Amino acid sequence: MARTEKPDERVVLAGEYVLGTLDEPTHKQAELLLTNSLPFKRDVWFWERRFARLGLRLRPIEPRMAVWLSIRRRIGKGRVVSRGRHRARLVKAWAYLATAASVVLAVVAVREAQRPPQTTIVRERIEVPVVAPVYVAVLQMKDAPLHWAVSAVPGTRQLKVRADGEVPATLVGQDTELWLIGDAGPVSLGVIPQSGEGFGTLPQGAMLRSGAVLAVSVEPKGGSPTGSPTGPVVSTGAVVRVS
Amino acid sequence: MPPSTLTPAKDTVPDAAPGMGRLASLLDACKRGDEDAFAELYALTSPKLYALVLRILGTRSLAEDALQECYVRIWQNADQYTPERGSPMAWLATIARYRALDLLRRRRHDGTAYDDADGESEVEDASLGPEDEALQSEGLENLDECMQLLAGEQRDIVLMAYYHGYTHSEISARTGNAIGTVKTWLHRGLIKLRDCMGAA
Repeated sequence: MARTEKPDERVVLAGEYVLGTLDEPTHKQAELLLTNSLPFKRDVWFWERRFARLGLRLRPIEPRMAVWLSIRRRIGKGRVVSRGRHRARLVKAWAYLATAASVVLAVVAVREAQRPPQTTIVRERIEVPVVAPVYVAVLQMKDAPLHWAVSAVPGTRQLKVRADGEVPATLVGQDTELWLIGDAGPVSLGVIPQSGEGFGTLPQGAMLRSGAVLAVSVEPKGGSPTGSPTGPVVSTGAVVRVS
Repeated sequence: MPPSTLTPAKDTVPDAAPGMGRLASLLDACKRGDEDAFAELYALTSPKLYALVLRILGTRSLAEDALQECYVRIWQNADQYTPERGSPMAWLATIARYRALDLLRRRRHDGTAYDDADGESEVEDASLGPEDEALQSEGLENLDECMQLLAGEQRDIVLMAYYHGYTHSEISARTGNAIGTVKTWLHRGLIKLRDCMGAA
């Protein structure tokens, strides 16, 4: 490929390759070159880095949670921890917990505010006992400055939930209910407060694990009468293991 | 500076911006198979990447497929990330765009009609989020300034190619310009951009 002997030509070819304007045979040649020529590879990286700006200046859009569930299913294949090992870890964790002090952990969640259109990082400090695997999630309301911090320590089936922020008018006179979105559908973790602290309960058989999705729905007073979310889902968030 | 040297010292990525440091350490944990880190990486970055693949593909179902492919690829290839490839966010956006273009080309190849109703003018400028601070620290925001130096038709070609993956001949067909003219415009445009960004 005589074209690539001159640096200018090589840079242009790299730019065309990154943009995707080359016809198929030339694109394939460029791909081959990419594996053989470090200078060409560097030129390609140069354009990839620079043009990324075009891709990242779009207004963020939250994907549906089904996408995450599919990804998790695909990457999680063959990585199941055996029950025996898990139990051993829990026992060990409890031994540590007996003497554990507390630490403060920071959890990061993303929320997409409707206006202004930008991604905001919510940093939530959650106090949890050290050592045992601890799972947390921060659920930010989609269009209101209210969020819930959820934390769970294995060994109990309790979830600590703390609400922070302003309760929007849309929630007045209504309850908010927390759900674990499992493969078989949503499982209620209980009605949660809109201010201050409260507790949810993980039902028998339901497990929190990294990547699990939690959701908050608006329900009539006393919680969903049907056992499934009946009102709008106002927040979703992924569970993250923090220790 | 000889034009062949496209990686001056200023392009190497300092671990300065907090958002970027977090993404870099999450990617690092993903290399070791840490699924928790991957979940957090997804939570932090998926709205940006979804916006990009949706912009390229135009429909939700295709965009969701592309996003899925993209994150599976990220999980499998996290060890291929090096700072030389840009900030973590830039690298993730590159992967997302290539996955979206793959899908788009497959559909075009299958003869499935693809009608991009939206024009280039719909690209929305959003203010930089914290995770984008890395882009600023790399000086990447000067792409916008450098794009302004291009003639209108050069800029249009770059944007058409970036957001739609059009080839020279497709751009020629869409703009009504001869393919040779399209190639020349793009060639000159890329050199101008390289000179502007490389020298900045």
